[in-house]
Amino acid sequence: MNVGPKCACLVLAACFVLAGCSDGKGQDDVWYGYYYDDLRENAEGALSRPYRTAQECRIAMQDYTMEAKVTSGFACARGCAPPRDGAIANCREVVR
Amino acid sequence: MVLDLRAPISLRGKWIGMILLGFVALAGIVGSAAILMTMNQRQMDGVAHAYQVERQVSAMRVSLLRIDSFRRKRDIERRADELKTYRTRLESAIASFRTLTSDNPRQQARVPLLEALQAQVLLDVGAITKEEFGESIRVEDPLGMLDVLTRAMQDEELRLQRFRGAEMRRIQYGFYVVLGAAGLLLIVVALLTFVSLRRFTLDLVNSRQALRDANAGLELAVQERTADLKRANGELQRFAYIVSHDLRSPLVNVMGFTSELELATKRLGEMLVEARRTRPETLFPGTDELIEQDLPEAIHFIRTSTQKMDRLINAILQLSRQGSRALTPTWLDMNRLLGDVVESMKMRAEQAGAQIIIAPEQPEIYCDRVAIEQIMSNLIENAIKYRQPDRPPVIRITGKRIGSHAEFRVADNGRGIDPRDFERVFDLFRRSGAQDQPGEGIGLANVRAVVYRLGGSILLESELGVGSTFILSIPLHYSEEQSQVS
Repeated sequence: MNVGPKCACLVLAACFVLAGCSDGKGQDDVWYGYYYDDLRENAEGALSRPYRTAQECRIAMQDYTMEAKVTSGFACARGCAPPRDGAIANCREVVR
Repeated sequence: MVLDLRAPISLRGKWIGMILLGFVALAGIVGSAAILMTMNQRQMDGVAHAYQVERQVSAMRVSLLRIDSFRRKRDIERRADELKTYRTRLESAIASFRTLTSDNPRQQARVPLLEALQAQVLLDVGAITKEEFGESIRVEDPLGMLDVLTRAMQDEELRLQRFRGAEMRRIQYGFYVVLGAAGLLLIVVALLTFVSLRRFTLDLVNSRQALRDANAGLELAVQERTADLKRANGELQRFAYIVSHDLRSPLVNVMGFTSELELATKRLGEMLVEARRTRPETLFPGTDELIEQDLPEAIHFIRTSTQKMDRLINAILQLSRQGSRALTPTWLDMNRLLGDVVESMKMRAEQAGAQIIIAPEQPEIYCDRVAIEQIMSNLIENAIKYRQPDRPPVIRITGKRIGSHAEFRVADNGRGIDPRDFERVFDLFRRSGAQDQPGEGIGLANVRAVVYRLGGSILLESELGVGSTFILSIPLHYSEEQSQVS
């Protein structure tokens, strides 16, 4: 009878993994700058280094895009799921 | 036959463990299914959200095209209200887009460009002034760029829709896998339950059969033992009868010759008186003492001993005869029977100043009259005999039905019996308390023998100085099978 609880835990863990519960959402408290060279296309953007606050990220990104062309753009975000097929959505917070 | 109940129990534990494990796994699967459903719902919400964004982008495009048509027609003043409506719609669509894509950095990055293009279009049709336009960026072909930009925005949402659709399909696939696993587990658990139930049932049937066999064997063994005991008891009774009968013959001789000796001693005494009177010189010294003291004393001892021995032999004979006496059961009105017993002892009771109370409504029994009379007489007689000296005896006889037996209680206020002697008083030739009453200790032994023979039992409750109660349990209907070793 003492193997019962262990087996039950294993089964439950397997079920959770099967259900995709083990997927992580990334580091929620870190901000990243997403820079897009041409907003008329859906090409994958460039990812900045991590920032502690949204303000830091925004200032850095503004400096970076100061001389950029009109069709470029950026946004700072945190808590995003890893990009799938080049698309990033479901971020916890996005600022400009 | 030996019943091995340990093995099935350990086996049962394993089976139950496996079934419990199955149920736990099922619970896990149900939980997983619930999680999968939640995830699927989330993806569905995402798809709906993407459609909503796409709709806003379309609304944006339509509004911009409409507004641009004003520039070509140059009839802004005439259709000012219409322009205002489209402008409002455009602003609303852009605001909704901004809100709806608040989780998407790429779409959010497009918002400033979108707003700049909107402002340029509005300036071009004269909907806003240059001051209102301010320092916004300017492009050569704002509508063309808007067209490309909104298509990219729509493509982005379409891509998200596709991605989320694929996620939904993946989740659905997982759901089916979980569903299949649940089905399989259900089958396994059902099979386990069925097998274990079948096994338990078989165990139960086997155990019951083993128990039945054991009971049958036990019954047979009891019958065999009872027969053996009856045989042995019969032999003992015969032996007791023969021994007591054969012992009695020489005892009678001893008693007869003791009488002869008594007569001879008496004659010798007379001769001694005569010799002492006529020729005293012929008497040896000590002759007087020998004839007048030693001889009568010796004869007295012989007589008392032979008399006691006679009583004991009679008691053994009586008991052995009791065992061999044929019982003749009949319906007995116990009120009447007890009344007759008490009546027969009236003289002794009056002498002792005893009061005998027979409770009404005594149960009727089917039993041997002589045996019951013997039991009751003995018990009542004992109650009178062993009374407390400072108070007259009060004897109460009660009776009631208890199941298939009748219980009679003979309670007195006599001197009581020491609890240590409760068993001893029923033994042959054993007595309890002060030996100040005549008797050989055969009354209660006889009572118990008779009660056993009737298939009953007798118990004693007593307290020294307070009184005793003999509790008699007799079958309501005597049958020879019920009778204990007779």
